[in-house]
Amino acid sequence: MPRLNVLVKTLRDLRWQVFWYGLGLAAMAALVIAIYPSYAGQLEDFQLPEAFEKLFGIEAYTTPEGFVSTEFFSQTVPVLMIIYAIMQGTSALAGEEVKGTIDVLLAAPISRRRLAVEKIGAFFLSTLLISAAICPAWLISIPAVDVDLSLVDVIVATFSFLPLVWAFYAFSLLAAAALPSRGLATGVVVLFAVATYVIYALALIVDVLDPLRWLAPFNYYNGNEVVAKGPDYAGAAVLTGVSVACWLLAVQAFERRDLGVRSEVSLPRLPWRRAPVSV
Amino acid sequence: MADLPAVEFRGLVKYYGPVRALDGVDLRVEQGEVFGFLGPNGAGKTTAIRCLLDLIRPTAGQALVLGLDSQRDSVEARSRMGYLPGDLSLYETLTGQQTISFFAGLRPGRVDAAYLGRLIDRLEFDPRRPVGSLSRGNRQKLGLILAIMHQPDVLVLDEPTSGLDPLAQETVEELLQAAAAAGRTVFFSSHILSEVERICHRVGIIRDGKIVAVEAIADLKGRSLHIVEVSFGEPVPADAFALPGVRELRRDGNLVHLEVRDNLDGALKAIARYRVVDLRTEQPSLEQIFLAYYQPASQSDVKEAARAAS
Repeated sequence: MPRLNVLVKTLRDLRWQVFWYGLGLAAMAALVIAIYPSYAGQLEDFQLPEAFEKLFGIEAYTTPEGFVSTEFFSQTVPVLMIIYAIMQGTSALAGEEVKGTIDVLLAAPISRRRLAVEKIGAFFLSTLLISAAICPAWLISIPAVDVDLSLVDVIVATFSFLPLVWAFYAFSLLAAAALPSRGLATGVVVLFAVATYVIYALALIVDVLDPLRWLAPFNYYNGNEVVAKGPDYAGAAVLTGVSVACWLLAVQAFERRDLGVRSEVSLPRLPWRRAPVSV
Repeated sequence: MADLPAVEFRGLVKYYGPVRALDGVDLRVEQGEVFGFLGPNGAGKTTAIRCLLDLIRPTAGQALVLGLDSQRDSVEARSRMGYLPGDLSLYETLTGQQTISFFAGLRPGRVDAAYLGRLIDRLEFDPRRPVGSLSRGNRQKLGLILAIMHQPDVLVLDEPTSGLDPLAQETVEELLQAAAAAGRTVFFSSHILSEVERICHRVGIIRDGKIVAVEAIADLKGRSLHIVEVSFGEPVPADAFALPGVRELRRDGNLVHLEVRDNLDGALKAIARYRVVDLRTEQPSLEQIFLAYYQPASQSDVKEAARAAS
């Protein structure tokens, strides 16, 4: 039995992304804590429109929990991580095909399913590593600045956005497996992310859109209040369930497809296009 | 086990959408053979090979390796095979050594370190350099190492010598012959006849997704074919050599080039009717034999016309 070589190699390929994401987000975490005391005083008699409060969760902005949630957990970090997820999801398997390395890779006696599962596993571990890399920043900055925050709550929150990230990875993997080109897959997932976020954000303000809120992955993650109230475990379960379903569909699509012939099947034979050379 | 063919295609059909790449390929390569899979670019060589590797799925028919179905027993079949893709892509950021280690790790216990060392030495490959900085020839060498290092029963190579300098080509040919001498089957595609001629026992010729001939090299060479060049002392009518098995390749004034297949007697009698100043016959190359027997007449005429015009 091969010993998870693909997983190890994929993780190794991701080492710099993990390093920079981890370092960047850790620095941001420390910065958020460092600036909290100077904001805390100013915000007490700050009045904002109700819509703003709902959208950005500013109702709890004046507490340390609310501040950290708003500044760190509610949008910036999930969005950055979702970008990472989409990039990796559309390149994990489709990238090997586009680069042509799928031929030598699958000349080895490993099944396509195994290849896909190891790729997914590597991404999964990379996200855990990024979250883990943020934790030392909390452990150092919170006691140093003397902010009244529970380290446990913050660290739990640091892992709470991962199901949302996995879901976008799963969507990207599926889109890349089902659609003819990687660019198209990226576009579709980004469009989906933006559209559902807009629906989700507007639904908080406009009641008419409320019935559509369940469509938005963001609806299943409570970034605004994650430190104060703890993670939305039910939401996380929904996201994880959807991820697993998308992974299964993506793996199945990958198992059934002709590999490394994407341009040949997807593009119409235009008169000025030469016949594919590799037939 | 010994009587199972090393590679077998049974009625292999492959469509890419409406485009037909393979149109019922039947082929049987015995164990221990060096088999050349020959045909022009776009004939279907790569498609057939990629079906064998289970990278693409045939529309109909079956591809087998040592009796193992390429789809149903995919992993087992690939564990017995070594493969060099025609359009080789490797991981640019890894060094040669890292590449070898990674792929060797996918075949645990199958790569003998001493053999691998000899292989690297023999190809004069420097494994310390990153793949991204390697020349086409050195990449091809690395691809070959990956295909051969686990000493597979069946070696499948898609245009193995393309991009190599003549010296490296010779090394590759020696390696393939050594693999064959060790009882392994070598199945490789090529569009270079001279290469096939040197190292193969048999060739299968594919054109437009169909096998048009399977022959032993010795038989193919034994085909009677003469290129006759006659200089006449007088003008000769245009239809003077319109005989079965004789084809006029070109004519420069009174100098006539003929390709004579299986009818030397008829051709000589036709020639003798006119005043002959000079006559030369040429030993045809395998390439010429191949073209004479398997190229559609119209296409070879076009080629000849182009050659005559240049």
